Amino acid sequence: MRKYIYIGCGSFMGAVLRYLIKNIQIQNNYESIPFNTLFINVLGAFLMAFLLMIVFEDATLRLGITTGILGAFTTFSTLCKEICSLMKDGDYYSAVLYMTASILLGLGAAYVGMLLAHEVNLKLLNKKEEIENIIEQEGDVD
Amino acid sequence: MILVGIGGMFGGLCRFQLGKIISQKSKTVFPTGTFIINITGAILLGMLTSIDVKNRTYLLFGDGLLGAYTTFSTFMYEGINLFQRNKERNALVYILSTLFLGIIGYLSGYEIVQLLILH
Repeated sequence: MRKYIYIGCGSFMGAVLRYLIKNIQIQNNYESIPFNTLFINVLGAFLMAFLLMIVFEDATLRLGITTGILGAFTTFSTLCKEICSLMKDGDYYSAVLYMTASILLGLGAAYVGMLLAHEVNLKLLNKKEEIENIIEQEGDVD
Repeated sequence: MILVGIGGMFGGLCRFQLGKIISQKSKTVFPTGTFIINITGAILLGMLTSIDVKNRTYLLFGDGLLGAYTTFSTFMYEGINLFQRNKERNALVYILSTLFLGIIGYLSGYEIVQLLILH
């Protein structure tokens, strides 16, 4: 039951956050490409990979953040809609560019997220070992 | 904004529950759950856009429910995960087929409703 509450609340927050970012007016030279959705999806992909790979104590909380917040924050249906509306306008160049950028940047972001999580995990492990060593040494003095 | 949140909550829960059921049934490396979820979400958004609903209804069902039901982050994570496990071909098939069928699905959903409305 706790799982469902976490995912429900997380999805609520994720969807609202997406809505807020989507409505920010940004100035860009390529007006036709929806940068807001691109930013949302790439950021979400990075955080998803990072949080899924990092050592985390509370599995339910992680599920709420990843499947809940990030799952609802990022969106595939809007991506399809935007690609189709670019094609409908006859702007095939922007449609292909937007599609390619979403996938390549998304995959890249997820990969960087994984690498970063790996680094952080190693650091945490080292720190834990250091602390254990210190405790051991102090024990020797006594 | 509350409407987007409420829609999002149901969308997220649907995605979780459906993903769980599908992954229990399929034993392949191919992430069937996310695949089905994203494509059905795209079809439904096509239909919803085609009906040309009022602003508030779109916030609840479009931006909220379907936006949260489909997911890009899990899609990318699963894609890169397949690459990492040296399943390059599966990764490519997964990514390209989701994208292709998502776009086709959206257009089909849109056109089907257009046809129904016209008749």
